[in-house]
Parts: sequence; structure tokens; C-alpha cells
Amino acid sequence: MAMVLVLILIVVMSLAAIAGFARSSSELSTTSSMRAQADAWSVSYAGLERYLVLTTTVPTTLPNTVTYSFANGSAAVTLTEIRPSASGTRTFLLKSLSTVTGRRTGANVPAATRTISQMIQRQTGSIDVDAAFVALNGASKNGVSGSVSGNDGCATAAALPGLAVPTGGYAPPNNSANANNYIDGNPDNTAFDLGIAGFGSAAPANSQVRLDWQAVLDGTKLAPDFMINRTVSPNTGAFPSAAAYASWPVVRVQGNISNGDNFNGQGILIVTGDADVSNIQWRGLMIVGGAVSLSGSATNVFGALMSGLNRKIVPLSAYPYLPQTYPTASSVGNGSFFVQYNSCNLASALNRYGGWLRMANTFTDNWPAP
Amino acid sequence: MISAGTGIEAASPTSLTMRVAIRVGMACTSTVGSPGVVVATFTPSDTSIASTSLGYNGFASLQTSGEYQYTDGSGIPTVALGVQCTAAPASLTPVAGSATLSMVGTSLPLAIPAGTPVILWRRVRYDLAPSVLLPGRLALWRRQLDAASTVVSSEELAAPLEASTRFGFYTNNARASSDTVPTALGDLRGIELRLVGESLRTVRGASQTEQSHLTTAVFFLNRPD
Repeated sequence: MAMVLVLILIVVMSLAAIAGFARSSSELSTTSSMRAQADAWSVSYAGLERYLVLTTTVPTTLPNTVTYSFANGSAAVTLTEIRPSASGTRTFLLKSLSTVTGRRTGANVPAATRTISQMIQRQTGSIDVDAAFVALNGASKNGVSGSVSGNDGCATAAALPGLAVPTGGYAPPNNSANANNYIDGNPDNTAFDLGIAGFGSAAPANSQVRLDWQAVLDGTKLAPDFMINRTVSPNTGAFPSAAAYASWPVVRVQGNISNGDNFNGQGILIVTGDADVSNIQWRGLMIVGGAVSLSGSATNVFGALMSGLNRKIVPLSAYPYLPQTYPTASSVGNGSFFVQYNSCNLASALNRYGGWLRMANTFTDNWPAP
Repeated sequence: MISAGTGIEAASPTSLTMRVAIRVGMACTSTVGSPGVVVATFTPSDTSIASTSLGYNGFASLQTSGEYQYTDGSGIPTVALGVQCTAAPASLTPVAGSATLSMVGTSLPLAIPAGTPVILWRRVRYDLAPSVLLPGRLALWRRQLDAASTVVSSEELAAPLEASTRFGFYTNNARASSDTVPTALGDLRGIELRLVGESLRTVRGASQTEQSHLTTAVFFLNRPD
């Protein structure tokens, strides 16, 4: 009888132990699942944020999916265009699907997933470009060769004037009937009139060019990635390497560039003094405080060129490193130089001033499980 | 999810009434009038949360201010033809799994431009009120309300709670919560839940129930600022 009681007691104690373990295991699973849920949400959100930081242009092919790995899971982030620009502001849906496997308490336990989304739009940097070549200091043409063209080099934007100067600021090469045929665009074969010349940002011609040149000089706008200072001795800084141009940098030359610099680059080139662009090829925006000289077949600007911007500064003495006299007319000289408006190159140069705009109040986190 | 500026309709330390967005989409067409009609395409959503049969009070369209303009709904949204969204002038490309719905509003004085973000919303009230499961004790409730703010259904979420259980309020960019409801509910940017749980019974020899304090917060991601 005693043996039977002992056996029953052992069975009861065993069942109690099993029940205890089962309950403990169940609580562990529940807690792990809750932690996995929290992880899935945070991984999903981290993926969305990472995409917005690392993706700096609209991908060519859409939908675009990128998978990011984190310490406790991964997020597949997909950008889909839901409204094309042709019918309004181009709008996208950015969706992030996370998968967290690290919290599973067994092989049969499914991975935790979470999907969140955000509507976004792409803001682009823009600049007021009045012509392929805007010469606030006027332009003087020598010979009929070369070309300044306001016809878009990537054929997506409406044609601009090839050359724009203040009233009376253009000296044609000669009196022949085809003297201005090197100017292409809209209007064709003629320079566009910016208005009356003057000094300071309020002068009619200067106000047409809405680039805040003073802020550029101050470095509060178009802050440079590369700074070459030629107004000190010895000069400081260096032009970017060929590889560094891949990111369309902002390059600032404090002083002049001259024939012999001979570089090919892209981005935004700021020259506070005069610029002899001979043997220089530039894609993007070139803005020059002083006068510009264009000459020779290896001289190309594909984007937009502005000169004479120091005429917007009064007094010049506020910036001792600038030439202390206002620039005379830019020299548009011999040889088959080519200055052409190119909206694509401008967009690439200005892309760094764009960014993703999250549309307010369009975040959602109640997508169904995939 | 709720809109930070206009999502909370009423608040007190023991009650929160809010418009909860259940689906997000984009407007395709709209017809002005009383009633007015809006057709929109909505991104996929979990039916256990977003089904309109679980509660639906209306729709809202995003304004340029970043806030939603709410419209009381008339009836449940119905399925509409997708071509109303894919064809001009909307010319949208809905993501896979999207649904095109037609909503009737009691009044739509202004047209909603195609491409404008639109939500479906339901009115919900969370409050601290006497428990039904544990008579004499306090509970956290979730209540579905109709257009007249009459309770349609109630769900007891947690009980028993101690009487000091309260909601706290985060205003704009303040780091600390406040006991006081902000004068302008549009300034609310988060809710603190100060839950004081109690044991079911008082342990023999103890003078009161065991208590467990849990303080957590919900911050609004959909904020205009």
C-alpha cells in the first residue's frame, strides 16, 4: 500500500514539474514573440530611414527595392511611383518590410515581420538660368566661330537664349549678316536683353539674375567641397581628382583660373575673379565673378555659364580678395568653343540641394502580413 | 495611427476621444455636394484593424497645411472601378493589393484634387471607467463611437487598475509630459499612459492590494511639424 502511495506521489510530482516547465516555456515564447514584434517594427523603420538617407536620386528603374541588414533582422525597402509628374507632383510610396528571425524560440516559429509605408516626393534643387551664357559684364565677340546655344543638350527642357547681356552690353564680331549666327536658342541668332546695366543687386539687369552672389561669396550658399585659394601666397587647395568629380562637387576658386589649368570636371564651379576657360571642359554650373574668356576647340561648358557677378556687389571693398574694379566685357573669342545649356547636367549639379520630402500625415503601419 | 494636429477631438486625464486613421490612400475623383462623393485608391491594410465593418465614421483629405480636413461619412465605403484612379486626370499607379473605394460624405463643399492623400477614419474613445468584469474596480476601455459620439460598442482592455491611473500629455516639443490637458489639442504630440495595475485580491495579512506601475508613451509620427 505504501509503495502504491509513493508511486502515485511520484506521478503527481512529475506532472506538476511538467506543468511548471510547460508554463515557463510558454511564457518564454510569449515574451520572445513580443520582443520580436518590437524588433520588427524598429527594423522596418530603420530600413525606411536608411533608404531616405542613402538614396540621393530617383532610381532609373522603378519599383526599386533595396535590402538592408541590421543586427537583429533585415528590411526590404521598395520605392514605387504612384503618381507620375505628368499628372501633377511626382509622388512615391516607400514601403519597408522587415523580417526578424533572431527571437524565434523554435524552428517552427515564424519570423516576425512588419510593414510600414510613407508617401514621399522628390524635391529638386533649382536655379534661375536666363541663358546658356549670362554675361552681366557684357560680352565682346571676336570672329564668328564657336557657339553659344540655349538649345537643351539633353533635349528635355525648352530652349533658352544662347547669350544674355545687359542693354548695350554686347559687341558683335562684325557687321556681316551672319555675325550672330553662332548664337543658337530662343531667340535665335541674337543676344537676349537682360535690362539696364548697373551695380548692386537691385540694378535691372542684375536683378534678372536671381543668384545670391553675395551669399555665395559669404559661403552661406553653395558651400564648397573643394577650395582653391589663389589670392594668398602660396596658393592653397587643389582641384579634385578625376574620381572626386563623380559626386558633382562644388569647387570654389578664390581668385582667377587661367589658360593652363586645363581640367575636365563637373558640378558647380565658382570663380570669384576672372576665368580663362581655354582648354577647360565643365559639365554643370560655372559662375564667375569677373570676366570670362572663351577660346579654342577644347573649351566647353555643358550646363550654364554666368559671368560678371561681382557687379552685384557694392562696394567691392567689402570683399578684399575680389578684384577691386568691376569686370569689363567677357571675351568670346576664336576657335570652335561650345557653351551649351544642358538641363540634365544642371540637375545633376544641383541634385545635392534636393531631397526627399515626407508628405505630412501619410505614414502608415497597418499593412497586412505578407 | 492618428494625425497629430487634428486627430484628438477631446481629452481629459481619464478619457481620450480621437479620430483614428484606418486606411491611407490617394484621391482620384470627387463630386462636390451634400452629399458629396470621393473615389480614392487605398494601400493594402490589415483587415483585422482596418475593416470598415469594425467601425467607420468618415474620410478626410490632406490640406496644404499638413492637416486633414475631416468629413463625416454616410454609409460604408463601396468598391469602385479602378479605372477611375488609373485614367486621367488622376493617372495614378496603385501599388499591388490596393483597393479603390467610393465614399459618400454628408457634405463636400470643395473638390478634392486628384493625388491628394486621403484617409478613412473611425472615432474611438479610450477611457478609464468602472470595470464590468471586476465590479467595483477600475478598467481601461476602448469604445467605438458614431457620428453623434454615442457609444456603439465597448471593449474592456485592462483591469483592475488603481484609481491614480491617468493619461499624461506631451505638448509640441516638450520633453516631459504634463498632467494638464493642453488648451489647444492641436499641440498634442504624444500621450503618456500611467497605468497602475492591481492584484485581484489583497494578500492575507496585507493592508492593500499588490500594485504594479507601468508608464509608457505613444508619440505621434504623423505630425505636421
